[in-house]
Amino acid sequence: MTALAHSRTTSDLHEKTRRKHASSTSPLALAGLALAVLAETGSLGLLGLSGWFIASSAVAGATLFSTFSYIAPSGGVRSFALLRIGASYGQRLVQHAAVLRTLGWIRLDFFTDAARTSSQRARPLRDGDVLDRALNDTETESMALISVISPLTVFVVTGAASVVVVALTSPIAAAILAAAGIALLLLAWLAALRKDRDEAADTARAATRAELVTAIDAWPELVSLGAAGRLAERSTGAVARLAAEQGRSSRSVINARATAGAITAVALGLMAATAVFGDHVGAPGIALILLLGTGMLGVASRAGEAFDALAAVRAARVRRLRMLTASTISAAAPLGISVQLGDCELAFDHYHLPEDEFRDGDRMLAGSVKQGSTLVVTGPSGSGKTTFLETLGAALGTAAVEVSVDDHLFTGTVASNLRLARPDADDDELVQIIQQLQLSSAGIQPSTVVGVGGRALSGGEQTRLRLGRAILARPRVLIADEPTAGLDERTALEVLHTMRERLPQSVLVLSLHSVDDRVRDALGDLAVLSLG
Amino acid sequence: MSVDTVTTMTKLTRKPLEQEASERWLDDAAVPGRRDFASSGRLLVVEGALQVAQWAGLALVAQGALNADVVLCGWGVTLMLAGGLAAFAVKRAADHAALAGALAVAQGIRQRLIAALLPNRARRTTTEPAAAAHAVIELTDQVAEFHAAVIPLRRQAPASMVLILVVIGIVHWPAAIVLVVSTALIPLNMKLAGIFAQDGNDRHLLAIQRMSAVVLDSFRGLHTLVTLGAVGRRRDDIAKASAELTKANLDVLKRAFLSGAVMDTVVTFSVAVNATYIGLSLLHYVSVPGAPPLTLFAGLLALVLCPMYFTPLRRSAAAFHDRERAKSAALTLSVMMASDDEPSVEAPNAFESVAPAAHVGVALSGIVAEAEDNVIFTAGRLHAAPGGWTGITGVSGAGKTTLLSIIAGLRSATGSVAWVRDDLVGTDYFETPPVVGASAWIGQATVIIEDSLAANIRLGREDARDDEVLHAAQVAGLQPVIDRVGLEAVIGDSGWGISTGEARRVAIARAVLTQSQLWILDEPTSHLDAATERHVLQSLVAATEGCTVLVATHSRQVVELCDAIWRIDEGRVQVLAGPVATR
Repeated sequence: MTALAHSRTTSDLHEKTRRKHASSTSPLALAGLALAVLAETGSLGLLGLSGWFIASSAVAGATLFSTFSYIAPSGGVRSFALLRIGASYGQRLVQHAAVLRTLGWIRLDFFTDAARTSSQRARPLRDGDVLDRALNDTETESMALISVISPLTVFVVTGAASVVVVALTSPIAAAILAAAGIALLLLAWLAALRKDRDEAADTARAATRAELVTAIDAWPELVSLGAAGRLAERSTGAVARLAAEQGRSSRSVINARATAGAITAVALGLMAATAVFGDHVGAPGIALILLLGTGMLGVASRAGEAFDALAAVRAARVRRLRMLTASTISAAAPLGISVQLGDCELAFDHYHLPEDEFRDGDRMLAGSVKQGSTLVVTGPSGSGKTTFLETLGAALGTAAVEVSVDDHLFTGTVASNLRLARPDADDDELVQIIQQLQLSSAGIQPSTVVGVGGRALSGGEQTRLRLGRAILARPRVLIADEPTAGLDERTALEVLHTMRERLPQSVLVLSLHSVDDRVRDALGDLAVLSLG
Repeated sequence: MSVDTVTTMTKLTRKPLEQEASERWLDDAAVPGRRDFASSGRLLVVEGALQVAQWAGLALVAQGALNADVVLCGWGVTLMLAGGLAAFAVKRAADHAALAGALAVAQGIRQRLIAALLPNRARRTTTEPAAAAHAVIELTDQVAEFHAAVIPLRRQAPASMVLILVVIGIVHWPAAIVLVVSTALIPLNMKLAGIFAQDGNDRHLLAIQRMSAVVLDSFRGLHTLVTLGAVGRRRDDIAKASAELTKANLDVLKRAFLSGAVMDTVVTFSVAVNATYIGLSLLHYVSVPGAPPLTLFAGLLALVLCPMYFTPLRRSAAAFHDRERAKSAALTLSVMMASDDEPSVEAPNAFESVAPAAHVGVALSGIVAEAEDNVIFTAGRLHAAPGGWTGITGVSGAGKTTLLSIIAGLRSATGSVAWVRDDLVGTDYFETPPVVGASAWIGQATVIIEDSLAANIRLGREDARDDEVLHAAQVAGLQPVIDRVGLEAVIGDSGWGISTGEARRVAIARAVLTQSQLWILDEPTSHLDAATERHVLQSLVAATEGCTVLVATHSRQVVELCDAIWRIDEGRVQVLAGPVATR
C-alpha cells in the first residue's frame, strides 16, 4: 500500500515538473507544429492547385475567347512549392530543437529524482545496460512531439481545411472525404489498442526468453550427458512458437493496413462519382477535389501511425517512473544493522555475518569506535568485509563518506574531481593533498587529466584520488574498502597516516588484509574486527 | 529513431575488420528469405502498375467532365475503383510475402544462433544468458525487419520508376524529360549535402563526445555525488552540458536534414515545373517542337505520376535508420556466432573403452582462464585424487564454474588439462584430454523435458534397461516421486509438477546412468533449503561411491564432505589443506 501511495506522489510531482517544462518549451514546440501544418498545406495546395490549374487551362484552351489568366494560379503553384520546401526543412529543425530541449529537461528531472532516492534505490543505474535503456526511454518520451502530436495536429488542421475546400465545390464529396478520414483514424486507433492489449505476443516473447535463459544455464549438464541436442530442440520449439505468434500479429497489422487502403480507394471512387453525377462539378473542380482528397487521406494514414508511437511513449514513461519507485520496496527491507552515531562514538549492533562455506550463520557483530580512532576490518577476501562496510555506510547515510572501487571518477581533471567534495578548495590545498597521498611523485598535478572513468590513472592512483576526494569532504565517518590495495608498503603507510592526520576528529572504518605494528603507528588508536 | 548522440556515442568504437565481416554476415542472413522477398518485389511492381491505372481513371473522370461525356466519366470511376482496390489487394499480398521472408530470415538466424549457443561439443565462448536471449529475440527481429523492408524495395524501385517513365513518355514525352533531368540532379545534390553533413559531423563529434561524457558520468557516479553532497552542483553542470549538447546536435541535424531537403526540392519542383508546363501547353502558350498535342487526360496523368515516380527513392532514404540498427545488431550476432564457424577438434574418446571400475583423476597445470582478454584466474599444478571429493570455493564471479568447465572440457584455456586413468595396479596408466560427454555434470539448473520420469532419466543413457533406470532413480532418492506419480507418467510443465530438489535428483539419476567415474558438480545444492540440501547430499554421496567428484560450492555442508579444497582467491587457485573430512 505504502509503495503504491509513494509511486503516486512521485508521479504527481513529476507531472508538475513536466508540465512546467512543457510550458517553457511550448513556443518552440508551437512554432514547430505551425511549420508542420504549413508544410503539409504546401503539399496539399501544390497538388490540388496544380490539378485545378491544368484542368482550367484545358477548359480555357478549348474555348476560343477565354478570360482565364494563368498568372495567379501558376504563381500559386510556385508559392505552394516554395512553402512546402521551406516549411518542411524548418519544421524538422524546429521540432527537433524543441524535442532536444525537452529531452534535456527530462534527463535533468530523471537525474534529480535518481539523486533524491536513496543510493541503493538508484543502484541499478550503475549498470551500463540499465542506464542505456533508461536514457533511451527518455529519448522516446521526448520524441512525442514529432511522433505523436505533430502528425495528429497536421491531420486535424489540414484535414478540416481540405474538407472545407472540397465542400465549396461538392458538399457530398466533402462528406465522404470527412467520413473516410475519420474512419482511417479510428481504424488505426483500434488497431493500436488491440496491439497494446495483445498479450499473446508478449507472453510468447517472455516464454522464449525464459526458455533460452534456462537452456543456456542447463547446457553444461546436458552436453555432459551427450543430450545437448534435446536442449536445442526445446529452444527451437520455443522460437518456432514465438515466430508463429509474431506472424499472426504482423498479419493482422497487414490486413488492417489493406482495409485502410480499400477505404481510401472506395472513398476516392465515390467522391469522383458523386461529384460528377450528383453535383455536376466541372473538370477543374473534379481535379481539385480528387487530388486534394488523395493527399488528405494520405495525411490521415500517417496520422494513424501516431497511435503506435503514443503507446511507445507511454510505455517508456511508465518504465522510467517505475524504475525509481519500484525499488522502494527493496529499500524498505531492514538494513540488517543498527547504528548510533553519538557525539563521541560510533556504535553498531545486530549485524549478522552471512553464512558461508567456512562459517556458520549465527555470528553476530557489535562494537563501538571512539571519535578520532579507527576500526580496521580484516579477513580473507569473500569473508564479507565489503558487505559489512556497505551496510554500515548505508545505515549512516550522509554522515559517512564511503570509498570503494565502485566509487566513480569523473571525466575531467584531478582538480575537478577533488573539487566535487569541496568546491571552494584553492590550488594550494589541492597540491597539498596530492603530495600527502604520494601522487605528486607519480607526476600527478591538479591539472592532470584522469580520462573517462579515471582510466588514464593506474589502479593505485585511482584509489588515492578517491581517498583524497573523501578526505576533502571532511566526513564524520570515513569508510574505505581496501584503501591500500595495489600500493607498495611505504606508500600504503603514508596514505593511512595522511587519512588519520587530515581527519583527526573523524571515525575511520577501513578494511585491510592484515594489521601490523607499522599500521598501528600510522593510524594511532585502533580496534581490529576480524571476520576470518 | 535516435535524435540524440549520448546513447549511441559509446558504441562508435568498432574495429573496421569486424564491421566488414558483419556487413557480409548481414547480406548472407537474407538468403533464406530471398524467394519471398523477390516475389514481394514483383508484387510491388504490379501494385505500381495498378496505381497507374487508378490515376488514369482519375484523369479520365476529369477528361469526361471536360467533354461532358457521362460514359467516359463512368469508365473513369470504374477504373479508379477497380485499380485502387486491386492495388491494395496486391500490396497486401506483397506485404504477406515480405513477412514470410522476414520469418524465414529470422528462423535461419535463430537456428544458427541456437546451434552456436547450445552446441553438442565444447563451447569456445560463453554468452551471458540474458544477452543471448536478447540476441535470439530482438536483434534477430531487427535484422529480419530490415531485410523485409529493404530488399523488396530494392527490386521494385527500378522497375516501377521505368514503368512510370514509360507511361508518361507515351502520354506526353516532354514531361518525362523533366523527370529524367530531376532524377539526374538527385545524386549530385545528395553528394553535396553529404559532404556538407560530414564536415559538420567531424567538427562537432568531439564536442558531442565531451558533453555526452558529462551526462553519462553523472548517472554512473550518482552514488559518489550523493555521498559527497555534490548533486546540486553537478545538476548545473548537466544543465549546461545538456544545453551545449542540444546546440551541437542541432548543428549536425541542420546539415543532416539537407539531404531530405534536396529530395523535397527535386520532387516539389518536378511537380511544379510539370504543372506549369502542362497548364501553359493546354492554353497553347507554349509548345515543344515534335511533342504530341496535349489532352487534359494526358496532362493530369503526367502530373499525378510525378510524385509517385519518386516514392521508392524516398522510401529507401527513410530506411536509413533501420539499416544502422540492423548493422549494429549484425555486429553482435556475427561475433556471437563466430565460434560456430570454427571447426571443432574431436578429442579421441579413449574413455569409451575404460571399464566402469577404473579410477579417474584430474591433473591441471599452468592454467590461464581468460574471458574477453581479461584473465579470470591462473592455476599452477593441481591434482584431484581419484575417488575423492575436491571442493572448489571462492566468491561469486571468481571463476568456479569456469574452472569446472575447463575440467569437463566444455571450455578451452591455456595450459594443460588431463584426465588421468589409474587402475591402482599401475599397469594401465594413461592420460587423455577431457572428453565432452564423458563426465557427469550437475549444475544449478536441471531441465525437465516433457516426458515420463523414466524418459527423463534415460537422457543419461538412451539404451539403459528398465531395471537400471529404476536402480538409478532409487540411488538418487527418487522413490517418493515414483510412489507419487510412477515412472511412466509425464512430468514437467504440462504434466506432474516436481520440486527443485526432486529435479536435482533427476539430474543425479541421469548421471548415475552414465556410469561416469568423474562427477562435476556446480553448486548442486544452491536454491535448496537446509533439510533438502542434507537429503540431496546423502543421495549424492551414495551415487558417487568410488567416483571422483569436483564440486563448486558456497555451502558449509558440502565443504565438510570434501577431502581437499581448492580456493580461487584474487585470481589464483590455491590448495587449502584437506580439512574436515567427516564422511
